[in-house]
Amino acid sequence: MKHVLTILLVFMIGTVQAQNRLRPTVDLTLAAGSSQATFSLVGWHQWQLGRKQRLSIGVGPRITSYVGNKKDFWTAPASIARGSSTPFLVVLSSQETQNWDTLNVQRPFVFSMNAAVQVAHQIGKRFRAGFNIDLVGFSVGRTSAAVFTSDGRQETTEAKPVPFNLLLTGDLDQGSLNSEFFVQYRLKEKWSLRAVYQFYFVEYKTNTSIQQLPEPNDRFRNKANLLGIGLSYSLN
Amino acid sequence: MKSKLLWVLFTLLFISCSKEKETATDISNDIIPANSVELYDGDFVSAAHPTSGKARIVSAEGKWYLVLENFSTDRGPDLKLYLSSNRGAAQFVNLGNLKSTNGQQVYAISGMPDPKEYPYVLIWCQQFSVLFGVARLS
Repeated sequence: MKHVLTILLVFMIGTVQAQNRLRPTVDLTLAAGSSQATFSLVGWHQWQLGRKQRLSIGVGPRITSYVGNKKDFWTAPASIARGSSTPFLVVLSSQETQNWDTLNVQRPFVFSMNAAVQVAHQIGKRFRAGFNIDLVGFSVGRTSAAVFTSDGRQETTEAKPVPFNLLLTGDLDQGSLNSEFFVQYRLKEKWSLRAVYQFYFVEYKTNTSIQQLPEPNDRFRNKANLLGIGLSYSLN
Repeated sequence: MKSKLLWVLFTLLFISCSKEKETATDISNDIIPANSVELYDGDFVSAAHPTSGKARIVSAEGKWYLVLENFSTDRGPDLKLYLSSNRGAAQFVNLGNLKSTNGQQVYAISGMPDPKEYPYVLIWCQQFSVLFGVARLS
């Protein structure tokens, strides 16, 4: 675990210092919601576009640490949870709530490492607003006691984080993926303060297919809505 | 202005954090429903923590109640009272938070679960999946 962190931090620092023509930044965010919170750190390559260079597009690695207490996770696979599992259409399809079972994970803790993209726009001299989202990566975390509930029947089980993360639109997504809408205010030349709405998509799986109907399933998802604050530091 | 903004954001950040309720060490004795009829009973034995007393299921006016008598167990986090299919809470009916680690307690049982299907009364730490004590009903 320690080696993975070291490699990732070296990669992040290298990434943001690689090219002077870019606008490299490091963002740090703390966000919290109902009985859950995240800490995230990301290094962005950012290309400034347009005649006035107000628009920027960035890519970079992001680590997100998620912790919760007794959080409900619901049936994750789109083939069960939604009316359609076609990419993009899944977002608009009906929610098949009669197929949803609940996994209450007692002490969820997930550490995800993902490649992310960001789009942002400069507003005036001091404000900047934008959106970013994780694309692909992997997760590690704590195996936790969990309570599975289906049709009023309850079972005790164990669950662990889904190891592989992939953005595939809507409920087709897999694993733990972070996304943010943010507004930032430049405090000093290099430092900005960020206000963030964060949507963190986190998944746990049970050791066996504990859900049997309408089809066997071991993957459960929590969609965390969080508000946070952060700092952004410009490296040039 | 900046300090006010920071204050609002910090408040939003931590407003949802709340401390979990701890089990009381003692309560005034719960009242056993009048004219109740005993259906099942069993004695607690210790598991991970010393636990003693008696568990009884009684019926009164068409409702079922679980009564703990002369009950005692250790304090612990997130203690629940389960009617369970086995000692590992493989399948269970959650009767709620344990009211107290000592004394007589009465819990309403909703749905009248079949005691043949759920013959064990568990004192169960839900957060860490630890069995404190168990009574087998007969």
